[in-house]
Amino acid sequence: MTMDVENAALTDVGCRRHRNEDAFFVSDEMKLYVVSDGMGGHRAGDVASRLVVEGMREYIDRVKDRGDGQASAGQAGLSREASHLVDAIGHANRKVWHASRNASDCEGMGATVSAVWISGSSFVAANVGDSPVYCIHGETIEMVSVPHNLSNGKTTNGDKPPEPKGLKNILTRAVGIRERVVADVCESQCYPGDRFVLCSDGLSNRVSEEEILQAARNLSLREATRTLVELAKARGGDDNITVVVVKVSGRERGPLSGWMTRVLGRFLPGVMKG
Amino acid sequence: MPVVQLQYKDRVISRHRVEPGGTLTIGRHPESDVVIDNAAVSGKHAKIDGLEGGYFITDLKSTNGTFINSQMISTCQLKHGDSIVIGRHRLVFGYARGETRPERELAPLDKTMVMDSARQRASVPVAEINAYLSILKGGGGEIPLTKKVTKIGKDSACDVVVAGFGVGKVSLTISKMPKGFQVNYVSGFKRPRINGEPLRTSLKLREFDTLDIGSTRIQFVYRESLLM
Repeated sequence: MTMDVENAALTDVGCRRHRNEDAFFVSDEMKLYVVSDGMGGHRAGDVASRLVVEGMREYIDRVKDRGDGQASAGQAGLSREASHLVDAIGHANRKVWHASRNASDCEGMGATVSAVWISGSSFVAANVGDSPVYCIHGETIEMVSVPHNLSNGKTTNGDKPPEPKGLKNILTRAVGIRERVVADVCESQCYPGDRFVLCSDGLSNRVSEEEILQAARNLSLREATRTLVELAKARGGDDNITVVVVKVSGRERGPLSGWMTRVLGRFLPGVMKG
Repeated sequence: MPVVQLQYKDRVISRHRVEPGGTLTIGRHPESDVVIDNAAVSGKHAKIDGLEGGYFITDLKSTNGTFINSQMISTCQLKHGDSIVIGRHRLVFGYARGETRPERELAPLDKTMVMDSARQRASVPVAEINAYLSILKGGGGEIPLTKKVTKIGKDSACDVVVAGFGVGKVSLTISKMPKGFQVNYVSGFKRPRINGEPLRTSLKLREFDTLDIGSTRIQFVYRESLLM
């Protein structure tokens, strides 16, 4: 079964910063969604994040229709799509790494990357850094990315003042810092009605998972992104804020129809279709 | 002549010789030289060849993979003391005392490391397995959940192949999430059941949950730290 997808994405410089170092790429056609949060260098955080999203798009665009199982050998045990997404992050990493070595004002730049790629009826999420990816299924929200920072993994509670940023700001992995990078991958099934939320920590440090769940479930995509960004800004907005909300829909194929179509299809042309 | 020792939970089950120029086949198939009767092991899982430059293990495109040092391998030269992990079984490769070994292996650094790591490996959980499926009905054995996604269904490409009327080619998948495991319904007129209830979409797996797929019953077992 193929899923239909739609998305809304919004990025905001926030209340304290002058430049937006976040970047995103969304495509319902490719069913690829990427958020990157740039950092470091003299003035190059935005260069890094832009290179990351470009690199991801380039790579997936090149491999998406390739039917062969040309998945990278080192990633045995992963599906073709998951290997491609991991390789796309590798490609993005090399782009940033080379750029940072070739231009002095880009030295030391890096970025996070969080990506969701929906293929058939399953999804792959991969990430490096601390930009979270959430999967919303029914009334539950689950982080499907692995935060690579020194925090204890606790989530922000909207009612309490956010915890001191210290440890949370230290990434244990980032794109573009070394020649190679290891991404975390999560692969699972998605169902009509599921939603994915990708964001930068400018949002997740200010807004709780519960608030993200409520907004993404109850509001239209556009309203959800706007509401979440406004909420983060109202609570200080000291960082750039980016949020992408993806909604998965598709004909809920009853458990019968696939089997019935096979058995009865030839006798009932057209009846089971649609 | 080198010897391969088949072990399960530190118990030695059998010993096998590998001859120079010969081949030792490993798998569930009864005609294998080393038969491992376990659902996690493919019919023809792997082989060891005695070649001129030494002894080499090759994974025969098995479903669940062959590991050396917790690393999944396709082919690899064997060193004295290497332990090969297939499912939950371990095969330890070793040369006989005084036997000539390939030169590359005799580099002093390599040699000391082999001794150390061979002992260390015994305490390391095999291939980080801490969750597995135990087949209670319609088969037997244990299947380690080492992959990001484990597929169960009628199709022969599935990690666990089950039979039954209306069961999907891929009936369900089990995904390794950042926190825990999740079971997902994929296809088929006959939905899998979890603890007796039909599986509608996806659910977090808890220890000892049972899954019924067709005529097969599987239990999910999860351990924080698994002593091997």
